[in-house]
Order: sequence, then C-alpha cells, then structure tokens
Amino acid sequence: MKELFLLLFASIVTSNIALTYFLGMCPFLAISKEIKVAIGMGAAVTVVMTFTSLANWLINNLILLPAKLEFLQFLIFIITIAAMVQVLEMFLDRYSPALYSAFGIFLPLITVNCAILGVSLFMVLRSYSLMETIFYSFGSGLGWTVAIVAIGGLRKGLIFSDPPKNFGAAGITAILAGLMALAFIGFTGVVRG
Amino acid sequence: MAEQPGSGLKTPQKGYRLFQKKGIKVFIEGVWHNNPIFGMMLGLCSTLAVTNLMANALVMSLSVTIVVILNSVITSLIRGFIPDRVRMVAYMIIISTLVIAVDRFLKVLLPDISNALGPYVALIITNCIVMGRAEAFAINNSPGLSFMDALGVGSGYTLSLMVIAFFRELIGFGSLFGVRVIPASITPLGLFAIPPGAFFALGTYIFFINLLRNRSKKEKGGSK
Amino acid sequence: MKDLKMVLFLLILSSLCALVLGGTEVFYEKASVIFNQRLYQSVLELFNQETPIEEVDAAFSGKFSFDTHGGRDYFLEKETGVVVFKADGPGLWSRIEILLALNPDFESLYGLKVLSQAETPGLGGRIAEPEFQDSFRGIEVVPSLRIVKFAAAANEVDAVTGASKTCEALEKIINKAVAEARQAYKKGL
Repeated sequence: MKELFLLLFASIVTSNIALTYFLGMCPFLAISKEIKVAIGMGAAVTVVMTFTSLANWLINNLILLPAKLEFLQFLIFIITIAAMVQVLEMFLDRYSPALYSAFGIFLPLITVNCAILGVSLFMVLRSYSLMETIFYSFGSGLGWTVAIVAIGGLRKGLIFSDPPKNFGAAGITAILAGLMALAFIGFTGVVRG
Repeated sequence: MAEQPGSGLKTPQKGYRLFQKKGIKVFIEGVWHNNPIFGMMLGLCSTLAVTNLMANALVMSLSVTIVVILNSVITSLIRGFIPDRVRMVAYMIIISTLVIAVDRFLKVLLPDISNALGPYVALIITNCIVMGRAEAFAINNSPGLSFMDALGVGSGYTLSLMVIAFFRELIGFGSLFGVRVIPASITPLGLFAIPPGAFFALGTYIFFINLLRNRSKKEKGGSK
Repeated sequence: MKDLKMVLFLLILSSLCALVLGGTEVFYEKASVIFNQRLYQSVLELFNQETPIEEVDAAFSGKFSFDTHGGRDYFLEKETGVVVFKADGPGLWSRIEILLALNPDFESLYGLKVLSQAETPGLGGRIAEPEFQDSFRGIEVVPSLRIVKFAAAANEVDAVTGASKTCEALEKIINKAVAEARQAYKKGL
C-alpha cells in the first residue's frame, strides 16, 4: 500500500508527466491564463487519463496479450481515448454547459493530448499492475494539472516583469517550465524507492 | 527553360514548371514559415524528449518526416473518398497504422535507439504536426504538392531538432553523435542533459530564431 | 445513405490498415530470427566464446540444452550445469534487458551481461561497461543481491556513481528473475 502512494507522489512530483516526460505540452502554451479554466482542463484530463488507462490495461492484459495481438496496442489505445473524450463531451454538454463552452475547442483536443496516450504507453512499458495503473494514471493527471495551473499562474505574474521581446510567449513559457522542472527535481531525494 | 510556342508539348511542360515552382514554394514555406517548432509550436513533446542526443533526434525526426509524408500523400490520394464527418477518425486510423509499422521497423533495424526513444515513437500518433498537415493541406491539395508540403514541414522539424540536439549533446555530454569532442578534463554542463535543460534549450532556440526573423523583417524595410 | 457511405468507408479503410499491419507483423516475425541469433551470440560471449553470427546456431546448440518454465526460456550449459536466462524490466529511462547466468547451486551468479539499455549516457548507461558487468561474477544471490555504495559482503556489488536509480532498477530486475528461476527449479524453497 505504501508503494502505491509513493508511486502516486512520484508521478505528481518527481516523475511529473509534463515537466519530466514532456507530455501534454501543446495546451501549456495555448491555454488561457485563467486559473479556473486551467483547473477545469486539468480535471477533465485527469478523468480521461484515469479511465482510459484503466480501460486500456483491461483490454491489453485480458485481450491483446493472451491473443498475441500486442502490435495493435497503439491503435486500440487511441480509439479508447477518442471514445472516452466523446463520452466526456456528451456528459459535459448535458450537465455543465457552462464548462462545455468554456473549453471550446480544447475538449476534442484532449484526444490528441500526448500525455493521455503517453500514460497508457508507460503503463505497458513498465508492466504496471491494475492497482499501480490506477494510482499512476490518477497521479499523472494531478501532476499535469499542477504543472499547467502553476505555469498559468506564473504567466499571469509575467505582466510585472519585462522579458526580452524575442522570447515571445512560447519562449518565455519554455524557460518558466524549465525553472519549474528544475525545482521539482529537488524532490527526488524524498522518494526513496 | 525555353518555351516551345505553338507546340502540343507546351501545356504539360508549362504545367510541370508551374508545379516545380509552386512545389518549391510550398517546401520552403514548410521549412520556415510553417516550421513546426518555431512557426506553429507543434510537436513540442517529442522535441524536448529526444533532443538530448543527436542520434536520437535524427532517428525521431526522420520517423516523423516519413510518417507525415506518407500520411499527407495517402490522405491526398483518397481525399475524394473521405466522408466529411469521419475525417478525424480516418486520419487517426491511417496515422496509427503508419506509426505502428515505423515502430516495428525501428525495433528490428535500430533496436538500441528504439529502446532509447521508448514511447515517443508511438506518440507520433498524437503529434499535431502529422494530423495538422493532413487537415490544413493534404485534404485539399494534390498528392504532389502535399508531398512537398510534408517534406518541407518534416525537413523544418528535422532541422530544428538537430540544431537543438547539437547544442544539448555538446554542452550536456561533451559529445556529438556519441563521439566525445570536448576533452574529458572539461566537465559537461549536465543541466542540458536533464529535462529542465530541454526546456531551456528550447526557449533559447526560440529566442534566437525570433531574433533572426525580426532582424530580417526590419531589413525588409521599415516597421512590422 | 450518407451514414452507410461513412460506415463502408471506415470498414474498407480499417481492413486495408489491418492488412498493412499484418504484413508488418510477418516481416517482424521473419526479422526476429536475427534477435535469437544475437541472443545466442551474447550468451556465448558470456562464456568467453566470441562467435561470428553465422556459426552461432551450431555453436550454441552444441553447448546448451533448452528448457522452459513459466514462459521463460532457460539455457543449460551441458558441461557445467550453469543456467542462463534473459530478464528485463523498467529502468529509469528505458527498458533494461539482461542475461543472467546462475551457477548450478542457484546461490551465486556465474555472470551477468547487459543486453539492452538506454539510460543516461555516462551515468546509468555505464552499467553496460564490461568492468561493471564483470563485478557480478561469483556474487551470491542469497538472501538477495544488493548493489550498494561500498560493497563488502559476498552478495554485494559496487554501484555506479551517480546512477543510483538505474542501479536500483537493475537490482530489482536481477532479484526478481533469480527468484523466479529458483522457483522454477525448486531450489531452496
């Protein structure tokens, strides 16, 4: 049990899917500086990430591996993700139209968010068990949310400073992310495997 | 370049030259204006992950180029048959198939680099570049032009990745393509070998590219 | 009618892609033959026999007999009874694949060879260095093998400086595989 919580902690902090493995970067630059939208996006991503990883684990271990169909992994995974996002869209449209319109184009874009496919791929690469998959994917979702909210907050604070113009929005965000990634590395010693 | 007035051969010749000109224009646009890294900000995930070593960057960018070329050409060839509503699904199916095939080939031909690239080859599926070019260009253009567009974008991507990897490997490991070039007595700046270094390298690269672009804009006369 | 066209298109597209994938798999199977040859070559190298790839099949079957337990292949050296098998697991940045050779008493290692890794070059990547791998010869695996800062006991090996995570991962892979081998051959249980 302790192992699972360590895995959760690690996936938020020391193995942050965004800051250590560079996944889910596109929304980093495009997402508005509104913290509320960032949190909402993070929540949506976490939900999709956890459920799709679970579904993909089941499909992979109960169907693909026994039938020696591993090469279909990528295809099946992306289909699961697309389906799950579709379900989420319908759910939001029905129960929270405000959030639905706030997301706008970003909702279907969750499908191509590398972080979600990435989590499923890492789950396979590291041969995680069912419980490990749940903790890891949920933790990764949280970690991604933390990263994107933090970056949003930092970018908001940028109005008080004056970075060289040639960096542009993308360049300065990259530098900010780098500084954050550096800070998170400081946590490495905390997780003693 | 000689014209052949009054000859029945004029039209296809002219058409071919027109294609050449337009094709090259499309290619250059792909490399510079539509450059995935600094022009469109796409495909950043893999940029950050594989630029730690030049060998990795090369294999990754070539893989992406192959996938985007094949996908654009195929999409363009069947563009008359794709029902509008299932465009995205169609792209996904084609791209997934291509990526799986490329991944398998890499596993056999370059097993060590394939291991180093890990899940990032599979992540080409979610790489916005591939789908982006299909949607923005291939679906509405001829296979020939789609090929040039894809080639341009792929080349631009490769160029950006190689430049970033060149500096990251040189400063972070003191080597180029695995060959140690900086004497062992000088300790490499390990910062660039680890993830934060990827971000810094990317930010710096964007900075210098923008510097170049803005300077050339100024030289082209006056403001903006 | 439009719906029918959509479904038909997707069906045809999927079928074509399935064909392409099937073809790729056939190619992969054929090419995998070379994986086995490379594996056998590595096993022979572990026994200090450098063999060119063409002669590997003959040399290997002359020296080793095959066994299988729990989905894993075990190669038994005919003369000495040393048991060789592959093991793999997650490293820090990549999948680490190793070759383990257990002495017939199943209590110590004959040797270890790193087949594939993509850890940090110069740090974790150093587990591929011959000196590091040689340090595993004769090391005891009971109660378990340990990779530590300053190896003292008979079951301890010196870790690579600056590569603690990679060495931890390697330690896990070794111990897990050894436990499985002991279980398979019912030694000491």
